[in-house]
Amino acid sequence: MSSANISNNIDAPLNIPAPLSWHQRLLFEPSRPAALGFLRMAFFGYMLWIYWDYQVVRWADVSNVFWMVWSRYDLLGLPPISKPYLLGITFVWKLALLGACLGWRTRWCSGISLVLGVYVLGLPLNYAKISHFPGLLLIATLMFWLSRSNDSWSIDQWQRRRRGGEPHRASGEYTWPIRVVQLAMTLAFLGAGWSKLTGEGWLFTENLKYQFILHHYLEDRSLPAIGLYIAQSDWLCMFLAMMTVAVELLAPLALFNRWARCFLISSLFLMQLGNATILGVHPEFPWLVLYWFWIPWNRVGDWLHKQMTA
Amino acid sequence: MAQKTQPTDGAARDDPHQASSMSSRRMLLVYIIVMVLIAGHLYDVATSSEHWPFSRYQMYSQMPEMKTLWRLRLYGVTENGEIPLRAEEHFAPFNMPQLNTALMRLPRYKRREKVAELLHNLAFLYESSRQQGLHDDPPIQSLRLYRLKWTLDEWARNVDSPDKKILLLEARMSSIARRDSKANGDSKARGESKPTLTSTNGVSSTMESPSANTLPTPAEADRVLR
Repeated sequence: MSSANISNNIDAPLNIPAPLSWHQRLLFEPSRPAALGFLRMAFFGYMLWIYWDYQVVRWADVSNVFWMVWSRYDLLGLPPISKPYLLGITFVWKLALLGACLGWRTRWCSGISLVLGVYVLGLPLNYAKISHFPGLLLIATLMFWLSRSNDSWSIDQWQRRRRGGEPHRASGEYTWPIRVVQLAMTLAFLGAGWSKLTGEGWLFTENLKYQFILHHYLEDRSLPAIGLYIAQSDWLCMFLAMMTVAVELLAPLALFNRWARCFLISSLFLMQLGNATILGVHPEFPWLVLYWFWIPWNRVGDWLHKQMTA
Repeated sequence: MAQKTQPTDGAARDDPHQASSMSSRRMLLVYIIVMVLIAGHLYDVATSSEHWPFSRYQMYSQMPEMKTLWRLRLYGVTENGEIPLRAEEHFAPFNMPQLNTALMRLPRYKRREKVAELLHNLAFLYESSRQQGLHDDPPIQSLRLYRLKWTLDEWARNVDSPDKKILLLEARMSSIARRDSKANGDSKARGESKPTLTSTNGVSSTMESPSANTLPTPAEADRVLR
């Protein structure tokens, strides 16, 4: 860009950059749309994959004797409905997930997948036991619905370019949705860490040791023996318990510092992977997709581009 | 007024003039979302409450029973004998934690009809899962609910041989397979058809050990549920 162009361009916003506060830097640092677009595609694709065989219609066979409405869900006034409606809702929900994954009519598809997702993923929570992981998946869906995630890696964008549209410029619009999902995730870990810290002696007892043993009795299927080996070492159990509480409580720091992010998020990932494989807790690991929000996809893209052009 | 922010990644960092700004309305929306997220989570943590999708995520923060353990478990009686049943395979769409929790709530039911209805529905789900090919176990003649008790072993060597195995309830099948083959999701097929302990439209549920000292007390169940 020539100097004449710059001086004539009174809209050029960054000639005199305004000082940024920490929260503006956190949420609105401009980034290119590719990372958010790629995450949208990966997120909805992963949702479609893990819920491909999920048939919410089976809940229509479950007796009302199991029905135990949680007040927060009851507020929505959503009762269990009959089989044909459940079949229809599930079909439309999966179709919307596919549409959002491909970036076709993205705003509509992500909105539909959010509204129907609240029902489809929330309905099972009313039968006997609450499960936490759908909540964060729905928060991420909400972020995609509110954001401009279709500005890259989408059919919408491809159609726009065919009509002669300009490529989108870097903007904070492509940063905040990722940051908000990261924030929601760290808040969940912060809550878990606080519950352990204020619980019945997580740090100073043999709690974790017995968790490793208990799950072999509580699970209907056999678990790998590695948990039992860990349980034999008091100091290892104590170390893991302290590390668990520490990384969970410190999780919000990952939002602000790159090195903290590397250490804390990889530690939390390993912890949850261990929960899934050793303790058998949510072995399908539905939160895996949320860890992808921590990968700097724009940098990965740059690196790949360099490798390919070299 | 729109805030201007500096780009920091990739091409945008190389050419800051390529960055576009966000409107203040959009930024306000983001701040509201962030505040709701933080407030919702902190409220639940501070008040030890649950307001889905917010939570205090208290799993594993409570002390488990260190020496002994008991749980309720379902077994099916087939022609070849008794087989332990798994939630995901035999009672879809339930998963193990959901089914365990549902069974733990049995002591809360004041009316025995509810208990019978629950077992009746589980028997229906077993047969339904079997017909859908989720498992290839044979039809069951009856469904048994046991209370199992273990002395915990550090190597879990006694998982398959609990110290005590007390039969609490048994739901006997007679014509449930015939009824389920034409099941279409109506309330009758789901086992909601006037269940009683003695005879319930093809399934008879009888209390084998009805004495109160075999069922866990609500307080015991509460401790396990935590």
